[in-house]
Amino acid sequence: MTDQEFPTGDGIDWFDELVGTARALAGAPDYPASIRLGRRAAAAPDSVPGLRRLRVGILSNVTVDPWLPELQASLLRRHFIADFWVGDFGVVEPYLLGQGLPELDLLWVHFDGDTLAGDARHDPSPEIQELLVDRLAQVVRAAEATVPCSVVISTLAQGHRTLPTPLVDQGTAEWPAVRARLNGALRQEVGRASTVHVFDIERLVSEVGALAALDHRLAITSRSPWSLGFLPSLGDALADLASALFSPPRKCVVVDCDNTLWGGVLGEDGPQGVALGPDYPGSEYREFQFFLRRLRRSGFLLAINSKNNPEDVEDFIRSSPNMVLRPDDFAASRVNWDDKASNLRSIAAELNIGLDSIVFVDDSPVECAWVQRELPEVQVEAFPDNALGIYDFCAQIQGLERVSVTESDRLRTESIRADVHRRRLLADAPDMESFVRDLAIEVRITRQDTDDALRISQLTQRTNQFNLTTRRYSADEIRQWTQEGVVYSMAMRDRFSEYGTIGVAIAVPEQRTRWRIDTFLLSCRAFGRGVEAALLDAVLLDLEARGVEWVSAEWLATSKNQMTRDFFPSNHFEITFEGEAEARFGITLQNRPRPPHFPYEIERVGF
Amino acid sequence: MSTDVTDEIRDILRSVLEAGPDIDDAGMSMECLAAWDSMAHISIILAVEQRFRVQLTPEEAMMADSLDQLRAVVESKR
Repeated sequence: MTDQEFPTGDGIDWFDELVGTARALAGAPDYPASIRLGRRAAAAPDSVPGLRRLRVGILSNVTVDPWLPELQASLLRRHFIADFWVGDFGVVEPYLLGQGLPELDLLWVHFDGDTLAGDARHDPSPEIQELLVDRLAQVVRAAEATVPCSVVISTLAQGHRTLPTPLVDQGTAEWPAVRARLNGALRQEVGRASTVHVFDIERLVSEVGALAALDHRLAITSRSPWSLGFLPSLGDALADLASALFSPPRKCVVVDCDNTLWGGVLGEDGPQGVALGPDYPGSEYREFQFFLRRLRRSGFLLAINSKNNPEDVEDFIRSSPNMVLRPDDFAASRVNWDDKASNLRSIAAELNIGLDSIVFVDDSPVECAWVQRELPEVQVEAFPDNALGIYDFCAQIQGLERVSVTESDRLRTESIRADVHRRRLLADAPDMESFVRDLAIEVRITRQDTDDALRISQLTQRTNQFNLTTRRYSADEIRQWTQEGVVYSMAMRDRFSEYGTIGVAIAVPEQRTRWRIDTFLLSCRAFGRGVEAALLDAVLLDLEARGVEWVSAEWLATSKNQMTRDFFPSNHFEITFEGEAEARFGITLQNRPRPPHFPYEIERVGF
Repeated sequence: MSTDVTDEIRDILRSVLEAGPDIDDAGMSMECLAAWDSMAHISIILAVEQRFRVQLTPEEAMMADSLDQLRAVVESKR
């Protein structure tokens, strides 16, 4: 199916180029090449025959941008092409509770557990645990109630801040045990939802190995916890999920018998001579039968397509004590000497399913090649030629992923959205203010803190997104500003962590009663809580108290700070000039509308 | 060897930063290229580490903000 030619109008075979490159990268990781591939994918036309376009949104409390090239490569290997949208750093609930999410097909909510718990993970009191359980539950409920696309939420994986401890029982009050309980609570909540699914990052990390998956250094310098080597595994797992959610589901697994359901050839070795039983190699074929039985129980149909004497096969399946699967497990059976492609056509007709919903498993490369040529729609899986390979085969076979959702669930979901059920969910989902209140945020706004000049300077150097003017200042220059104007800094803490200084504003006089806001910024760690409004209010109150009548401000565009464009106007500043790359604002302080109240404690120091 | 290292780092920078042949080696720095922002810097460091099988300390990574600096730090580790 993948080898079909898809001529395109512009002379580029986008499918071959993108999928071919992505496949090559799977064998030979090359990060710059992945970045180039990501860029090529972004340049591809809207519609590429053979590729399904997927709008993927990611909300996270860590930096996800470095992951995107590898995620794209993995998705391309599964014939998806992604348009990625990444929410502001650290902001999750506000998107789920309000506006701001673009139209998406899939939203991935990824909490880094260590970051989520913050300092509290060193002492996860019962109160903290309950708060975290609530928070996760509310995220799931909000996603279910308000997000009109499929949502996957990560389990909390072992993180880079999980301190090395001796391998003895750490007790139920320690963070690893608490994290496990949070994951249990998360699963429970997701189990009640129909459009939200678990993305089991924790299992993925333990399968790959935390030492290999985590990059402590990258985590502490860039807030991106995963190693480069882990990203393809992460991408493949996401692609599996996407496949389960968006690919037309495979419905039937058709298997050969000799050297597939059992080892050896029944017609020659006889019922006693084939390998099937508790010991190797028979054990591995038995495991494969258990694997098939699990698929049957999760809703797949099973069928047999074998060149054999029908009586031999029937007798053996019915009466061999070592068989796991029995005649009843198979919805259809073709044991004859016809060619296997014809058999598959007749199985499809009998079961009334399309050939494109069939997975065919056979150990013979010749049969596999024949079927693939005759029936390109069928997913052909070559069974390993020795028993040792069966385990990996089962682990790697694709197209059998099922999320806990059925077609009827999906339809039900559509109607749920329209009816009262949704109102109940919305009532359960927290609103923005109670979310902020639950965090028990305290901010401390300090005037002219020369002791903190270094940290303030660093914030002007490093803050790119919520930065109105992006002026970079040294510590000496900050001290200079405290002579010529007023420097305000804001520190924040909440129930989980102490964040330190996260906001800066610098106001300078132009005339005695007319001042200008030279700098206004907020660290990404404090996004999504509304604390910037408290800083602005404190600045304006202070200036008013000093006899200032008019305050001007400006926005200077950079490639990163689009999010701040409306900050001043939405806080009652009038627009005095508006251009593409720059805007200026002003406000008369007397009788300006003040925010009614802030859902957090504000302490003022040095005013 | 120095030329090889320079060539490979230049390739990495061109890939990550989408820098065309019009930009010479002296222009390959965070200071000169707007595209070389903090996010691109992470990608550059990751790519350099993968290519040369080295690990940079946070301090080295922070300092390595030009083609010259990257080459120097890679060579110091080989």
